[in-house]
Amino acid sequence: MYVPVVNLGGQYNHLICRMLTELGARSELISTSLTLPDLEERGARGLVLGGSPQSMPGDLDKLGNLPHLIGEVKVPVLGICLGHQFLGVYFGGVVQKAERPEFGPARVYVDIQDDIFQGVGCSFVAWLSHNDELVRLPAELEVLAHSRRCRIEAMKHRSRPIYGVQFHPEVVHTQLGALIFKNFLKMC
Amino acid sequence: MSAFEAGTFVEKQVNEIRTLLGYEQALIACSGGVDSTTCAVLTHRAIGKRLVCVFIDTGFMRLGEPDRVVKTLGAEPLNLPIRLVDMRARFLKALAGLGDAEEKRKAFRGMFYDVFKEIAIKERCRFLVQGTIAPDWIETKGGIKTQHNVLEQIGISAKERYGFSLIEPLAYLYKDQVREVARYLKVPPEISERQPFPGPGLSVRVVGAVTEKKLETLKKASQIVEEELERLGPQQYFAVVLDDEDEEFDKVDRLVAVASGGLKVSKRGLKIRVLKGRATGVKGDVRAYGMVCAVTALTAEGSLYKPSLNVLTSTQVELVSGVSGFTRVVYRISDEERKGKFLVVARAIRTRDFMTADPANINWDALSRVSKRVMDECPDVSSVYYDVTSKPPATIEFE
Repeated sequence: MYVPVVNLGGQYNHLICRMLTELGARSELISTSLTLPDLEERGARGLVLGGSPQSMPGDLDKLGNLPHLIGEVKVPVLGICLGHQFLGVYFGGVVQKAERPEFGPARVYVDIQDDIFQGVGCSFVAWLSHNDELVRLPAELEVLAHSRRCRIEAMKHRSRPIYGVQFHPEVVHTQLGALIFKNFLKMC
Repeated sequence: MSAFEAGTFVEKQVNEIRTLLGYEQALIACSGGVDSTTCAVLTHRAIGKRLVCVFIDTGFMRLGEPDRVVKTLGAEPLNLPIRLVDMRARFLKALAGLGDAEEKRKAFRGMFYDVFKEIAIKERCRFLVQGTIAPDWIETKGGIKTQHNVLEQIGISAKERYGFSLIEPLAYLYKDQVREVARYLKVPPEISERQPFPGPGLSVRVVGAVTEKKLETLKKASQIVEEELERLGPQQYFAVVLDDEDEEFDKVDRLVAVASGGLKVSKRGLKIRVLKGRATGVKGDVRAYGMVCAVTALTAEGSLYKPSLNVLTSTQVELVSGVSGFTRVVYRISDEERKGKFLVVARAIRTRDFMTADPANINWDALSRVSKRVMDECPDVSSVYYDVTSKPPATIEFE
């Protein structure tokens, strides 16, 4: 199963490939310039958007073909950190500078034990690294998890297989990160 | 990318190196660490005697390290054709007078490649093999910190500037995977399991300006921290030395309030210093060169308060999140505090791949032993602290 990672320049993007590979998928970093026909030709069954030093919505125009791609893509999508913020903004949500940014460990509370959090339980310790955060979602997205400092730690699209997490399930310090990727791969 | 298996990896790399080099000679920069040694053994397997192994003594190595490394690499079972090149004076001169972490790292990198350019010309080598691994290029490319062994990934052509092409067989591996390869290649455990040591050596642990006196204090303190913490099993453990000087900061009251809440200690029992030395961090994928918050907490009786690591790390999270500008929180572990030029910080971390890390849970007996020995054996040191910052927001090294 081929599940590429869109390289947005974040520190852990390559670790996402490592995680997916260890779970039996085939993965690689791909550029933001890739189009839907490119992805279909390579047989992508899912798509992961990594983190980035960029900021939303100011850097939207630096994401190449990605906004266009998200409009068309049919396979499941998982956005991580900036990838999550980008998805929120793409569908009409609002990103702001976090009042209390999170670096390192924080406890994440699961609000909806949805498919992506299957088997994770009601809370877990995740690692984060973000100066900005999503503060408002449009009606088509719903919140799946929160922390003490951040209201929208995870979200999903109500009718498409599109997910976002503010924390980093790909780093070894996040508890049950592999389980979250396994749940995602099951959908792909 | 497919699932990692050491045997397959070795076979593929040996073939690739052979194809690439043909009958050419190659030079390799050996530090005695797991990355470069693994690389040397791989390349030695591929081209045998046509490999020239060089260990540069930069002067920023630990006590006794150059001799120890050359002996280990040259002896059974590795038998690498290793030679030592003494460049202490040149490296010290290149770094003299620099205080900014990135300037120091870039000066080190410049001298490192200048030296290898000279050796490559002398040895008629057109290839340089290096043990660059994934975090090296990820952090350099991401602008977090300049690693001494990364050029091509940031658009510098080694061929144009230094006259040799680079071969980096381990570029997509993380430390735990390199160790698997090392064990597969029968590299002795003293190297395959060795804790990482930064490319620029102790120069990045002498925080701020490098002086001989500061370096000398650091060498002694490093030895003590390594001796005392090794058997407790953290993935990396070392000392850093900072100037014992404070920075003016107008929100100390705020730091005291947050620390008091986190540690559950009265504000009267707290002393918070903001140090002049700065430390590298990473916040939201962006480099942060931030301040160091040094916390002392005393009990109602006036003795040093010794809470659990959990309490210390959660207080660190509150401090960094609540007051902007900090990349480090260090907590005093020496009972006494005296007048002295330098302050020593011990750091020990737990990690798998060095991309994220948390402070190792070292018991207070060991912390007290470390601080007592440093105070006894390093007369210029005023006090000793333990680094309680995770990565992020800190990086593992201070610079």
